[in-house]
Amino acid sequence: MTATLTFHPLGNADCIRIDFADGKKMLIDYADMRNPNDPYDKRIDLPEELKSDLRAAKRDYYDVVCFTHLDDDHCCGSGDFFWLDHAAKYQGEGRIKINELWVPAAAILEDGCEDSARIVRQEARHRLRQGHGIRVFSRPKKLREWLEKQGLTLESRAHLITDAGQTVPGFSKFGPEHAEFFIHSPFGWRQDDNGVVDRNQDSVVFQATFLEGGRETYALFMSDINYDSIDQIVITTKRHGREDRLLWDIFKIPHHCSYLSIGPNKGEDKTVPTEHVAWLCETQGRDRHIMLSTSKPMPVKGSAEDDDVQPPHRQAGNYYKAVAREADGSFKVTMETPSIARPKPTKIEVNERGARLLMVSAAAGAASIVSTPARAG
Amino acid sequence: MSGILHAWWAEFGELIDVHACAVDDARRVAAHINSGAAASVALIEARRTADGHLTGLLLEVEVERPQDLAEPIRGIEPIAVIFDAEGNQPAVVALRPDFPHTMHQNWMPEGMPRALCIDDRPWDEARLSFTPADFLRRIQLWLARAARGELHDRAQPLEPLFFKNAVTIIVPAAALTSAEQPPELVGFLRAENEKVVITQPAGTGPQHAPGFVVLTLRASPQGMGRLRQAPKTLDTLAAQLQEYGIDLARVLNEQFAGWAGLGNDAVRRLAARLALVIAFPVTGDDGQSADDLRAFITYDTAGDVGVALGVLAANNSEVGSSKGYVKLLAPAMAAALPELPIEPADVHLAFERRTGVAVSGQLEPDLRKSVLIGAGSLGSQLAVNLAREGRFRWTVVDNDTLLPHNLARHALYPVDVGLPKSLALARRLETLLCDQAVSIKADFLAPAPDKRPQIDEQLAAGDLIIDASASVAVSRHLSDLEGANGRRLSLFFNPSGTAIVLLAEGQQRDTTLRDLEAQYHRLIQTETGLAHHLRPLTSALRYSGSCRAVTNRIPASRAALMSAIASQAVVDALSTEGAQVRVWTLSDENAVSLVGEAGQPVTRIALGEWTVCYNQSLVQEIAALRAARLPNETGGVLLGIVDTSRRSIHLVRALPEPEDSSGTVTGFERGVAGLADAVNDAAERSLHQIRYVGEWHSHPAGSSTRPSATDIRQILWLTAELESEGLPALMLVAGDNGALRVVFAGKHLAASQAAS
Repeated sequence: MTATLTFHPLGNADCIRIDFADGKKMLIDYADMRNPNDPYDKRIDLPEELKSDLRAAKRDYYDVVCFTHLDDDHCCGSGDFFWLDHAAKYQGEGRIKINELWVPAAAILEDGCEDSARIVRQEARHRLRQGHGIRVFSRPKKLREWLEKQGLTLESRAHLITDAGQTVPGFSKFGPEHAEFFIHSPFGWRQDDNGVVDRNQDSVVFQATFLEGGRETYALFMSDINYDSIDQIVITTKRHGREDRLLWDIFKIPHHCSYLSIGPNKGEDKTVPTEHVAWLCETQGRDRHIMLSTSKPMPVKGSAEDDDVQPPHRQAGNYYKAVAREADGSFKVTMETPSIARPKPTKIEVNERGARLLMVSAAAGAASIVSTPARAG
Repeated sequence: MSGILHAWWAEFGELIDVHACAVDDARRVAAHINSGAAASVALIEARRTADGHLTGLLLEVEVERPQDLAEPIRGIEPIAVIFDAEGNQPAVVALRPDFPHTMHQNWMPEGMPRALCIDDRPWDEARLSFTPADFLRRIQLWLARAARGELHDRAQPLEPLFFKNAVTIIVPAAALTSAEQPPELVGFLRAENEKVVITQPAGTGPQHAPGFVVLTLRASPQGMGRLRQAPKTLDTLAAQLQEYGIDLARVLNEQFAGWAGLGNDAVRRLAARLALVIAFPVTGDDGQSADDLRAFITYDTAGDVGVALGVLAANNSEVGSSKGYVKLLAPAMAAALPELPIEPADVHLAFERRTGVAVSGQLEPDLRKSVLIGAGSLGSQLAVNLAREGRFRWTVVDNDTLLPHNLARHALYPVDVGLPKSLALARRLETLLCDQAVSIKADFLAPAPDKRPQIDEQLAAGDLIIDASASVAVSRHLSDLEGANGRRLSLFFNPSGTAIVLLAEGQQRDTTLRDLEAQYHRLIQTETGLAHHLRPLTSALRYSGSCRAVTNRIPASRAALMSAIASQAVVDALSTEGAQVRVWTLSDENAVSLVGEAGQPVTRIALGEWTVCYNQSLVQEIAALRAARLPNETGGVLLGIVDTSRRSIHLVRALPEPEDSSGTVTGFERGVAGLADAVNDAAERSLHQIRYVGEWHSHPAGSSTRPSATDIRQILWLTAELESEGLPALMLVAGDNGALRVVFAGKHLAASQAAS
């Protein structure tokens, strides 16, 4: 029994599939970024990739699809791929169904969304109104107000809402899926304070725990939050004495390897982390952990990409590489793995020996190491 | 560059441009890596030995590791792959100086890096599908499995690239048991193959000029597992053995002191090379302890080793052999061993029972005592097959001598011609099992008086008695034999050599070989597939002038095939509780079909001196024929096996009424139409083993099976008919619910008994 995490090479964008021990499937974000008209685009054809995986599993649905927030690099193309309940035009042959949709409260409350963000928001709102197939993270005051505007009460939807500091119902380490989710973000109070939605900082951050053969393996999914929010999470978690909830073996690097998720200053060659980021990265990561940057290749020093304000930032990469080295772990970039020339989905297998980045086992036709002669005599 | 590399690599040779390299495979692997197609493998440099023979590529291989490591494998390992100019199997060596000693490595000389065994296939096979991608993937998978602890134990062979044409030494397992005084072994090389040293206890077996004296040593169980690298000299070996509780200097000192002198034995020993065989107890994956065996052979004679050790001196006196060595007076106990070169050898254990057991996939040896009657083609091959599987302790009874024509399909060889088959076969079994086998040359049915007690004793002790005599008489004799409790199994070919038959008694022996013989004949009569099973021999081969000196024309391959089936049949029968009859038939294309059934309970009725036996199938057959004609009576003839010497009749079949019979509610008169042909056909189909033995008829529903007046008249007629054949008259009366009454009449007997 193993769980497998698959990180798709999509440039600076996220789509991570989790295959649980019992065959359940979950997507964390869905961003189809590839330009089909560009033959040199190395980003994966995400819908094709996901559909062939589903075909192999004889499925047409995901048990869970979680949109950590509604930026395009986390939900682009959802309206073309998924079967959505809220409008007939998103229904039909070949669309992929979602048993349970996970979104931050911000995704319900945001006004003036466009394109994919709007489609996902409409679906989330529809499901919340219907009262099933939805999970909302955090309950800012505005959510109560929104529900009341729909003629509903917060109480009637309370079972569909999970706050930071809670585990997600329906998943258990001891159930057949061998997995549990502990929510770190968003915080309801932050939105109350800010009044407006800040997608990145209000995105869903969680720790997934996989229990295989008596060993717990932890994966932190950091979405796109910056160092400020990380500090806040660390402080809050420590205040509750729940440091174990920030242990990790797999680290989905926040915000496509932006230096702003480490500290305020980019630095010359290596970003200096805040105290809390340093604690999270350097003490909570366990031996031989795996850090994954869902991003373009790391820029070479002095190149045009190196001057780009957009992530990935070389200095941030250098910080994470140092963290990986220190723990005898590894740092991988989706668009560099296995090679920049031909990036492929990066798979991490979780079993009784912890997490393992698959480099050869996943390769098709991998010969058995001890293949024996084909004839006996 | 990830850390320090094993010093061996820097000394390996000069850096070269791999694209200019003459070795194809090295160039292909390098090109494959440089093309970027090999994910997580980087080519660092290439080197070539000064003589140009070996080319090595230094790779950095990223390892697919779990977080919790079974072995300390690094995230990136420096690995060298070494190719030779002749295109032999490349060696894969780990260049990290502290690379762990894991399972599945090849054995390297001392001072060299560890060699990964990435492919179990012989190179001649593996090279057929060699691709750089597959080769590199195997390295990566090996490392991934090591990290996960998924490499399994296996003897460590010498790395072929570094031990070309290594010597193999074969030692009897008994020599390695921890007995106080293991037998002295001498080793010799066959002239035809100088790479294999065969050893045997001194003074046994065929005499060869000894080339080696063998010393067996055993490492203490508290040792450090297996020896990790192959030492190149005696002193470094001694240094390593120190850690395993072996004081090699002391052992050699004592041994040489005992061997010194000018006697023949002393000269023989000290003029031979010294072979050290060392058993290291290691614990396998399954927690079982096993020996890892290592051997080292000196280039010098034992005497010269003794001289170098300072214990012996060459005999320079005028007395005795100039090849002799004498003990030094008051030698200092040499503490350090000389730096004499040694070569490692692969060790193989001589074949014995346990080897056969292990190789045939059994867990424990089957030590049951088996008495084999008949050492012909089937018996000899059967016994040899089973012995190769480590099975049984054997006694062989046969009265024949191995003659040339036997060789056509016998397990024995021309070298055995002229020997009693029992003796030659027993010897063969002994050498396979390393266990005593008893040979009795005797006619089993009529042994010489001095042989009878021995046969009886062996039969009484036998857990099973295998009849491979192809003799109905032997089989029946065994069936009735008293004073022996072992299960009887009878195996034979059919005359045309297209089928192999097993009659196997059950554990309880309540269905005997004789009962099974009748059951077998019933199968031949009733199974369409066996219609030609006993087709008579068309042409026998006369092998001498005597009229009975004929043998069947069955090719050796067919006899071997059927003997192999028979061997497995014996094993299977013994693992089943009940009795069984099985017939395997070969088609012209060698497809095998099986007809068989479990042994059936038998009804035995003793009538005077005679016994009549029949089984459930016959009861059912008659019941079905009766039911088909009710309310009228019906009947027909009975076929069976008659053994006049035992006064027994085994009923085999009841034939249905002939067409011209007339059956009414009150009576039955059997017709005759086609009857003679039917009886003759049945007799021919059985190769005249079954014959007409009497009549059966049914009584209507509700009537008793008591013979009616008509029945009495009929039995009187039958008596007259059969008396002329010397047989009693037999009549069966069938009633309700399968009730059968046997009516029996003869000159001096008349009886009837009912059974149901």
